[in-house]
Amino acid sequence: MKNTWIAVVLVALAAFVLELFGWWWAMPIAGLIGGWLLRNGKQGFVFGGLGAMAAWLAFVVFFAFTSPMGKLLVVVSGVLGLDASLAFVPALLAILVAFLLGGLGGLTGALFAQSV
Amino acid sequence: MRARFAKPILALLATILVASLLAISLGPLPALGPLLSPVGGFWSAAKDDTFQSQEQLNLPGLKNKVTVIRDVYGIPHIFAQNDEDAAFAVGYLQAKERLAQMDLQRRNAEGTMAALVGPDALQDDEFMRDVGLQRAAQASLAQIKPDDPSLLAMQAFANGVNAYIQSIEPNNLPLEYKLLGVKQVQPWTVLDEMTFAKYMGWDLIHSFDDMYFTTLVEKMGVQKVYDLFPVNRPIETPFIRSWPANETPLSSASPSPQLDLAIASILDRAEQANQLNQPNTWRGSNNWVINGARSATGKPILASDPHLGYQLPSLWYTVQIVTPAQNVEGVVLAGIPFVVIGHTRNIAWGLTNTQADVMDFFAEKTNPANPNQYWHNNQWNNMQIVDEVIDVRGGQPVHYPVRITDHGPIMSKQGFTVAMEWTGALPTFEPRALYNLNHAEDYSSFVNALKDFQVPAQNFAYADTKGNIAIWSAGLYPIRKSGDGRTIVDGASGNYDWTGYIPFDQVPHALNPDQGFLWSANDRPAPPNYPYYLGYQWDPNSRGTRIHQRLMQCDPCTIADMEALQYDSKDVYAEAILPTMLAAITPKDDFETAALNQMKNWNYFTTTDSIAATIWVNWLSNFRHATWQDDWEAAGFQFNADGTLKDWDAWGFNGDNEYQPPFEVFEDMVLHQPNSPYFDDLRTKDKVETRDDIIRSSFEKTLSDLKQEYGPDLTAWEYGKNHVSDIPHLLDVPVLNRVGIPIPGDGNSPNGQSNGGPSDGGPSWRMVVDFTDVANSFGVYPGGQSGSPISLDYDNFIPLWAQGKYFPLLFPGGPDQVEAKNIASTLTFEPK
Repeated sequence: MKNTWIAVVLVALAAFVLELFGWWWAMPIAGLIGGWLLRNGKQGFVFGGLGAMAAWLAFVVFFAFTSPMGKLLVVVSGVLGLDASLAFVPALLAILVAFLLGGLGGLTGALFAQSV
Repeated sequence: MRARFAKPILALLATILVASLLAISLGPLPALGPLLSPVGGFWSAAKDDTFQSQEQLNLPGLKNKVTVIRDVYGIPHIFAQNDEDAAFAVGYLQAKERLAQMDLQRRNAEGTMAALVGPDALQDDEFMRDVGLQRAAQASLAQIKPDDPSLLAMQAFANGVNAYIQSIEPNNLPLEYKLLGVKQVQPWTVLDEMTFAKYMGWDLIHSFDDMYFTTLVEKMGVQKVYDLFPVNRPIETPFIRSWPANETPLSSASPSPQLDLAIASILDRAEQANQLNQPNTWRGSNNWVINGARSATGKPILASDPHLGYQLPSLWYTVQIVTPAQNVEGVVLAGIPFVVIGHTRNIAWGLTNTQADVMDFFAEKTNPANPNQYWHNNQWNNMQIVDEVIDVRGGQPVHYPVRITDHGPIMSKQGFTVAMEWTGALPTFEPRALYNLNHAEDYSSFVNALKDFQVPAQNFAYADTKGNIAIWSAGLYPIRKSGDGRTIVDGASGNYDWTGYIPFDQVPHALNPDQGFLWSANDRPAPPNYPYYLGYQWDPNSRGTRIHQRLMQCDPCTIADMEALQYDSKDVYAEAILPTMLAAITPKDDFETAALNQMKNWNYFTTTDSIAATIWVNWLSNFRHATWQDDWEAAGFQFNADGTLKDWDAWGFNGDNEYQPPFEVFEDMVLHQPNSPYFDDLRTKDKVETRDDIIRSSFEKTLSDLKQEYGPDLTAWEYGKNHVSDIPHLLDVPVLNRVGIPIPGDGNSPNGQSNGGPSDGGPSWRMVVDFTDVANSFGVYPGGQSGSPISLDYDNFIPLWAQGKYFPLLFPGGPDQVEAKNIASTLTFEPK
C-alpha cells in the first residue's frame, strides 16, 4: 500500500514537471515510473493514471481560481460541438486524457519491469 | 525471450498509438492532446489579454515613457512624447488584444493562409497571389523615402507588435492558435501593414461585375443592357448637385465560348477564395455634415457610419493618440497604426465608399507559339512571370507562377487569357494620407492629406471648428481611351487602355454649400454632366434621399437627431412606390384585407415590431423577381430554386441588386410605365401582363409564403423575428459567433441592413462629432475592443449598437485629465 502511494506521488510529480514544459505527450513517461515501481499491470495502469490525473487536476484547480474558467469552458465545449450545459466536458476530457496516457505508461512500465 | 517482451511491447505500441491519435486533428475537431494540455492547451487563453489595474513594462525600442489609460469602455488613451512611441504603443496594445485577428487578416491579404492551415487554403492563396496585393504593397513602399514620418510610425507600430509577440510564450498564444494547433507567430512587418491597407482597397473596390455585364451583353444585346442598366439612372440625385454631360458607350469583347470559359474560371476562383458578393447582404455606408447655421449648437456636427461585413473581432479598434504633434481619436484598423475615421482637436472626417469603377478586365491575345507572349502596342510582348512561393503547412512549398501583362495579372485559368487592371495594383500610399489626416487641424491640411488617398476611392465628409463643412470623393479614377470598362474588353488593340487618371482638383468635391449640409451614402457623387466617367455601381438613392429628407426637416438639428438618423429605419423606396402597389390590390378575403390594412397604416419604418415591414420586404422582392426572372430566363439564364440566378452572385457592391436592374429603373417603371413590356410574363403565352397583374400575383405569393413561414396569425409576422444581424467570428466557430440580434432597418434605410432575412453586414462603426466641444463626441461598433472571447470586452458594444446607443469618446488632453471614475487600468511603457 505504501509503495502504491509512493508510486502515485512520484508519477504526479513527474507528470507535473513534464507538463510544466507543455509536454502532454510525455505523460506515459511519468506513468512508466509508477508502473516500474509497482511491477503489476493492473496497479500500474490505475495508479499511473491516477498520478498523471492528479497532476493535471492540480493545474485545472489553479486555473479555476485564477482566471474566468467557466466562460472559457463554455467556449471550448462549443468548439467541440457541445452545448453550454456540457461545459464541464472539456475539463473532464482533459482529466481522462491524463489518466489514459499516465495509465498506459504505468501498464507499459509494469510489464517491462516484470519482463526483466 | 521474444515471448517475455511481447506484452510490454504491445503496451508500448498501444501507448504510442493513443498519444499519436491525440496529436492529430479529427475532421473539424482540433487535436485533443495539445488542446487539452493544461500548460500548452486552451486553459491559458483565459488570461491572454487581461490588463492589470496598474502595470509597467520596460520594452526595447521606445525613446521615452508612454502612458496608456484604458477607460471603462476598454478604449486606450495613449499619451506619448513623440509619434513613433505612440505608434509603438498602438502596435503593442493591438497585438495584446487582437493578435490572432491581425495574423489571419494579413495572411488572407497576402495569400499565406496555407502556411497556417494547410493545403485546403492553397487555391485561395494562389488567387490572392494573382491579385498581388503584396506586390503592390512592395512597389508602394519602394517609393517612400525611408525617413518619411508615416513610414517611421509604421515601423514603430511593427516594433510594438513584435515586442508583444516576443513577450508571450508559445503556450500562451490566443485561443485561435490553440484551435489551429499553431505555436509560433511570424514577426510583424511594415509590409504586412501596407498589404493589409491594400486589402482594404481590394475589399471595398473589387468587383467582378464586368463578367456579369459581358454575359448580359452576350445574351441580351448591348441596347437592352444599356436600357436596363444605364450609367445615368432615372430618379437619381447626386450628392454633389452641379457640375458641367458625358455618356460613354458600353463596350465588350466579342461573344465567344472561350470568353464564357474564362468568365466561369475567374468567378469559380473568386468564389472559392470567398471574394464574391452574395445576394441580399446590404452594407451601405453613410456620412453627413451640417453647418452651424443648421445645428442647434451653432457649430457643425459630423456623423459617419461606414457599413462593412460584420465580423468578430471587429475590423475596428477605437483609440486616442496624444503626442505633442497630434491629438486624434477614432477607429484604427486592426493591423494599421493610424486613425481611419475620427477627429482631431479641430477637424473630423468620416468615410463612405465611392463605389467607382476602378477595375477593368482585358481579354489578351496570346501568341499561339508562346502562351507567355501577348499582343499589345502592335507587337508581341513577354509577360512578366513572377515565381510566387507558397508555404503549405504539413507539405512542401508550392511554386506558383503569376503571369502579368501591361494590363495586370492574368486571372483566368481556362478559355481566353483575361488580365485584371486595378488602381490598387499601382504604387499608392494611403497610410501617409491617414498619418497626415491624424495631424490635420484645418481644411487645407485635410485636403493636402487626401492627395495621397487613392485606393479605395472614398467620400470624405469633413467639418471643423471654424465652421467649414465639405465633402471630397478622393481617389484614383482611371480615364479610358474609349469605352466605360463595364464589360471585358479587347486588350490587344489598345483601344480601351487607361490613359491617365482624373486630376485631384477635379474629383467630385464641395465646400460650404448654401443648403448648409452635405452627405454621401454610396450614391452617385456627381451629376450626369460631370466631365469624367466615374462608374455605375452606385447604391440605390434611397438612403441618400432619406438623409436629405431628415436633414431638411430637423432645422435646427441636434446631436440626438444625428444619432436617430444613423439608426433610422424608414424605407423611402416604400414611401415612393407602395401607394401605387396598394392601389392595384382589391382584397379577396378578410385575411388580405387585414394584411392590406397593416400596409395602409404603415409609416414606412422597418422597426423590429412592424408587421407591415415584413410584408413589404417580401412583397417587393417577389414583385421584382416576378418582373425580371422571365426576361432573364428568356435570355438563356437559369435560376436556382430559391430564385437566385444560377452560377452568378450579385452585381454591385452590396448584394442588394442581385441580378436585377437597379432600383431606380424599377421605380421609374412602376411609377411611370405601367404597361412596360418587362411586366409581361413571357412564360404565359396567351396573356400580356401589366404592372398591376404582377403586383397582384406577387402580393398573393407573398401572403402565401409568409403564412407558410410564420402561420396565419398576422401578429406573429413581426419584422424582428426574422430580420436579425449575424456577426460571425473570423473562424466562424458557432460558439464565438453572435447571431440572431433583432435590428431595425432594411436595404433602403440609413440603418442599412439586408432586405428581410439575416444581415451579415451593416453599420460597422457609428460616430457623431459635436464641434461645440469635440470631447463631447460618441461612437459605437458591433463588437468589443478585445479579440478574446473570454474577455468582457469581446462583445460588450453589441447591445449598445443594436439599440442605437453609443459610448462617449473621452478626449483628454493628458493623463491627468481623465477622471478616476473613467479609468479601468493604467499601463506605463518605459524604454529598456
